[in-house]
Amino acid sequence: MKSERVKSNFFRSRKIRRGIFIGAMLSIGLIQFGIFWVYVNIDSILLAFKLTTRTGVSWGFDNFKRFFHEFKMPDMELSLALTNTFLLFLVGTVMGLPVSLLFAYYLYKKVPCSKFFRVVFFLPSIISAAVLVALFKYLLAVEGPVNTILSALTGREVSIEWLTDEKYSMGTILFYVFWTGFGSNIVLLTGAIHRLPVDVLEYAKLDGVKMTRELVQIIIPMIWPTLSTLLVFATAGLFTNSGPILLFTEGQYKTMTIGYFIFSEVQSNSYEYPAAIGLIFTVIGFPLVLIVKGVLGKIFEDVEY
Amino acid sequence: MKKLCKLLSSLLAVVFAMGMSGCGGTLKGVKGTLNIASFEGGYGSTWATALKDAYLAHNPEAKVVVTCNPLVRETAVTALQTNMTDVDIFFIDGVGVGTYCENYGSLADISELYSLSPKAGADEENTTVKDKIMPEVVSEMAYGGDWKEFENKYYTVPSPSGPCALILNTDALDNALGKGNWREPRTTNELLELCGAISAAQAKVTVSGVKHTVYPFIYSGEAVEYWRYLYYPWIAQYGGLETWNNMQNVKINGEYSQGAYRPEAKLKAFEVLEKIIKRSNGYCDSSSMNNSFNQTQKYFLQGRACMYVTGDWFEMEAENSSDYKANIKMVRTPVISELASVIQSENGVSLTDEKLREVISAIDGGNESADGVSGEVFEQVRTARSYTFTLANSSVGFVPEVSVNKDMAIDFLRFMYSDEGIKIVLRESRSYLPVVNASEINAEGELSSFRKSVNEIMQGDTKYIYSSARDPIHYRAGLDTYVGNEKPEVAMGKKTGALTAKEYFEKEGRLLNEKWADYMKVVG
Amino acid sequence: MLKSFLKRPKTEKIVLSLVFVFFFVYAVTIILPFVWAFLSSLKTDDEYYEKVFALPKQWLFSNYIMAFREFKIGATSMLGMIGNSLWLTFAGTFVAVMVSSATAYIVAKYPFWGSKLIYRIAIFTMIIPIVGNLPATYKLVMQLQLNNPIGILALYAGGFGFNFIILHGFYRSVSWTYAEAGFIDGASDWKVYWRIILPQALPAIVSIAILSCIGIWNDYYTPFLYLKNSPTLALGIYQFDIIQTYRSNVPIYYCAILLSVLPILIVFCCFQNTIMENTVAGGLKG
Repeated sequence: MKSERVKSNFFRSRKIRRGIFIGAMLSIGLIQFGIFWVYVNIDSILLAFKLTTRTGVSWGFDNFKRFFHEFKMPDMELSLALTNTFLLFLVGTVMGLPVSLLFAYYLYKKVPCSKFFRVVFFLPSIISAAVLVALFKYLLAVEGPVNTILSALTGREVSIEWLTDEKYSMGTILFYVFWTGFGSNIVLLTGAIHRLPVDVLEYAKLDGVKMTRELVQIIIPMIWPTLSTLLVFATAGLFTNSGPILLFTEGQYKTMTIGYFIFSEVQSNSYEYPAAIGLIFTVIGFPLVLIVKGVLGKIFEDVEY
Repeated sequence: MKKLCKLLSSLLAVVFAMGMSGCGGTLKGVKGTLNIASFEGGYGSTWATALKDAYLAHNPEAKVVVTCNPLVRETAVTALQTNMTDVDIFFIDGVGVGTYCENYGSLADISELYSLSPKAGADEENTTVKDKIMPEVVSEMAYGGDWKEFENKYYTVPSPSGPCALILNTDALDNALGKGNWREPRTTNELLELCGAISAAQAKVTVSGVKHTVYPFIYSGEAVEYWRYLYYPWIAQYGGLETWNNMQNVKINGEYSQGAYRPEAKLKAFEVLEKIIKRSNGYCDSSSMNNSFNQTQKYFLQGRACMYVTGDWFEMEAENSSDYKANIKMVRTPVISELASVIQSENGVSLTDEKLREVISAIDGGNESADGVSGEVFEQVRTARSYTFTLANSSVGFVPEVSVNKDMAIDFLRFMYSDEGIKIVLRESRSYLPVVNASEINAEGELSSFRKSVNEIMQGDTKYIYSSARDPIHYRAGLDTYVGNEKPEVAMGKKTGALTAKEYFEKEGRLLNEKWADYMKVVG
Repeated sequence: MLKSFLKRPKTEKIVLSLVFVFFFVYAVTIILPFVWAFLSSLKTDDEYYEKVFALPKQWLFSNYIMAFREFKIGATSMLGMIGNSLWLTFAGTFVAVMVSSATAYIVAKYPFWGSKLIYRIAIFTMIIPIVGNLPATYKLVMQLQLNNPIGILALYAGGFGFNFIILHGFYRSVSWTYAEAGFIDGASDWKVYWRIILPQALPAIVSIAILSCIGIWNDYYTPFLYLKNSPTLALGIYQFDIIQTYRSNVPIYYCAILLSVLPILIVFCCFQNTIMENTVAGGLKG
C-alpha cells in the first residue's frame, strides 16, 4: 500500500514536471507563431473572401469563382502552368532527390577529394539565385559559351535561343533546377548519414556487404525519416514555389507555373484574388501532402537507433 | 559539448534580455526638418540635392535633408502600405494613386499646391503650379477612381521625365547606307523601307576585331515593353486622342466597354509592330530577345544596330559607358501610314504615303500648310505628328499622409516648379519637368546633340500620351496591360509559335470577353 | 587519403573511380561559371562584351578596389556590412535552430494531445502562400520596437517552419534507449535533452544551421525593412543589382558578387571539416 502511494506521487510530480518541460520547450515557438504568423496573417487569409468594389467591400467566394473560370480559358494556359508546376517537381525532387542521395552517399564513402567536392557541390546553394541565374543566362546567350562550344563540336553555327524559344525554354529551366538543386539536399543527407551509428556500417562491411546493398538495405531505411521529410517538404512547396521563373522568363515562352502566376497577380496591386488562388491550392495541397506522408511512412517503419 | 551548450544558452539569454531593452523605435518625422527621399535611377542622383541647395539659398532658415539612393522605391512602397515613415516627400516612379488612396489612405491631399503660385524667393506672378504643368499630365495627378471621398483631389506632382521615342545611331546608319543616303523616317512605311534597306545592305561593323552585321533595330528581352513607346503613339495617331483615352480607361462616354479597349487603331499599331519584330523579316538583331539592358545599349552604341526605342534617360546611362562616342539622336515617332485610310474615309481624300511624308516634312519645317492638301487634312496630320509617349505621369513626387511637415513639403514643391527650379532639374537630370513653357527654358552650358534632339521634340508641337492605370478597372479589378499571360511584343517576336498581330488581337479579345463579368463585378 | 582508397576492395575501387570521374565533370560545370565570373571581373566593361572566352587584356585587380569603394549604403562600408551580416546570420541562425529544435523534439518524442495538430499546422503554414501581410508585420515590428539588430531576432525565432519539419524527421529516428537510461538514472527531461539528445542530433542541427545561415545571409528584405542603420551585404548586392540597370559596369558587379560570396565560402570551408569530424565522433559517444 505504502509503496504504491509513493509511486503515484512520484508519477504525479513527474507528470507535472514533464508538462512544464513540454510547455517551456514549446513556449517560444508557440508565442512566436501566435504573434508573427497567426496574428499577422489572419487578415491575409480573410483577403481571399474579400472583394473591394465601388460601393465598398463585399464578402464571399467571388475570387474563387474567378479562378475556376480563368482556369477553364484555353488562352490563359493555366493547365500548362499546372503541367509545368508538376514537371518542376518531378525533375527537381523526384529525380533530384535520389541523385542527391547518391551524391551524399559517395561523399560519405570518401571518393577521392570528397572534401573538395563537398565544397564545390555546395557552391550553387551559397550564392543568391539572382546571381546564379545571371551567370547561367550569360552562359546560354545566343553568342555565349554554350553555343560557341556546340558550334565547335558540331562544325556548324549553333544559335539556339535556350531561354527565349519556347521549344527549349522550359527544358532549359528544368535542367537548371536539376543541375543546381543538389546543394542543400546534399548538406541535409550528409548530415543524416553521418549520424548513423558507425558500428552498424562496420558490421555490414565485415559481412562483405556490397555498396549497393549497403545503400539500399541499410542506409536508405535508416535515413528514411529525413528522405521522407524532404519529399513532404517539397510536396508542400509544390504550388507556392515559383522556382527561378521570375529571373529567367517571367512566365513567357510557355514557362508559366502556378507559383509564378500567383506571384504575378500579387504584382498587380490587388491581393484579394491571389490570396484566393493561394487558398485553393492549399486546399488541394494539404491532403496531397498528408497522402504523401502516409504513403512514405508505410514504406519503412521509423527506425530508432 | 557541455561547455558549448552552456555558452550558447547563456548567449541566448543575453540576446533576449538585450532584445527586450532594445533600442528600436517607431518611424516618425521630425517637425521642422523636411525629409526628402528621391529614387536614384536613370535620371541620376543629383537633381534633388541641387534643388535643395538652391531652395536653402532662398530660405536660409529652413532645414532640409535629401536622401537619394536606389532603394528609395522600396522604402516608398513600404511607407505607402504601412503609413509609417519619416519622409515628407518621396520622388519615385510607378505610384498607383488609386490603390493607395482606397486601400491605405496613405497619400496626402496636396490640391493646395496646384492653386498656389510657384515661388523662388518671391512668388511668380499670374500663374499657378497647375498652369505651369502640361494639362494632360495634371489630370493624371488626381485620383481617378470612383470613391467619393477622394474625388477631384490631387495627390501627386510630376517629377522629371521626358519623351520616350525612337533613337537613331546616325553613325550606324551612315555605315549601313552611306552618308546622305538615308533620312529620318516620317511614316511607318518609310520606317519599314529603311529597315529593308539596312537589312539588304548587309553592312558590317567591326568591334574589337570581330565583324558584326548591322541590323535596323535592337531591343532587350528584359524590357520588351519599350516597344510601347512606339506603338502607343501609333494607336493615338490612327484613332485620335479620344480613342486613346477611351482605351486607357476602357470606357466610351463614361461607360465601360470592351470595344474601348480594343479599337481598330490597336490592331493597326500591332500590325506595324509585328512587321518590325517578326523573326522572318530579320529587322531586329537576332540576339535581342536574349539581351540584357546593358548589352543592348552597348551593342546599339557600338553601331551593331541603327535604331533603338527608349526614353530620354538613355543619354545619362550611355555616358556611363565608355562606348558613348556614337552620334545618337531622338526623333519624333513616325506617323502610322494607315492614317491615310482614316483621312480617306473621313475626308474622302486619298493620300499616298509619299504625300503623307511631304505633309509631315512641311509640318516639321514649321509650315502652316502643304501643297495639295486641305487645311483640315493638314491639321489632322499635324495632330498625329505631335503624339509622343512619356512616362511623366508615373514619375511623381508625393507627400505621405503621415508627414508632419506638409506645409514645408508644399513650399518646396512650389520652388521645384519655379522657373529656377525647372532649370536646375533640367541641368542636373538632363530632363524636363513636364511644363508647358518648356520652350522658354534652356539649361545653361552646352547641350549635347542628343539633348538638343530631345529638346526639339519637347519644345515643338508635342502632345504627350502615356499609359494610365488610374481607372479602377486596372488597379482594383486587375486588368493588366496584357490581358493574358503573354506580352504582345513577345507573342509576335518569339522564334517559335509566333502570333500574327491579328491572332494576338483576337486572343486579347477572347480573354477580355471571358474576364469581363469579373471586372464589372468590381467596378460596374 | 589515397592509401585508404587503395586498401578498398576491387569492385569498390572501380565504382568509386567511376563516381569520381562523374563528380569531377559535375564539379567542373559548377566551377567554370565561377572561374569565368572571376576572369570577367578583371576586365573592362567593353572587354566583357567582346569575346566570351578571352583572358583579360590587363588583369584589373583595381576593379575589386573600386567595387569595395562603391559598395556602400549610406555611411556603412563593405566591412561594416560584413559585420552586420555576420551578426544577423549567426545570431539569427542560432535562435532559429534552437527554437525549432525544441519544438521539433517535443512534437516528435513527447506525444501529447496537440502534437499531431501542431505538425499539421506546420505543414499547413508551409503550403499556404501568404500575400499582402507586409503592412501587418511591419507595423507589429515597429510597435514592438523590434527594428534593431537584436529585437529582429524575434522574427527568426519561428519554431514551425522548414527547420521544424526537417528536425522533426531527425528526432523521430533518434534512439530513445539512451534517454530511457538517463531517466532511470534520475535525469530530468531537461538534462536528457541537453546532454543526450542534442549531442546525437548535432549533425542534423549543423546541416539545418548551414542552410539557415545561407538563407539569412542572402536575405536582403528583412534588413532592408527593419535594419536601416545596419545594412547587410545582401542588401548591398541588391542595391548593386538595381544600379546595374542604369549604370553599366558588369565586371565591377561581378567583383561585388564574388567579394560577397567569399566570407560564407570561407566559413563553410573552415567549418566543414571540424563540423563533420567532430559530429561523427560526438555521435559515437552518444
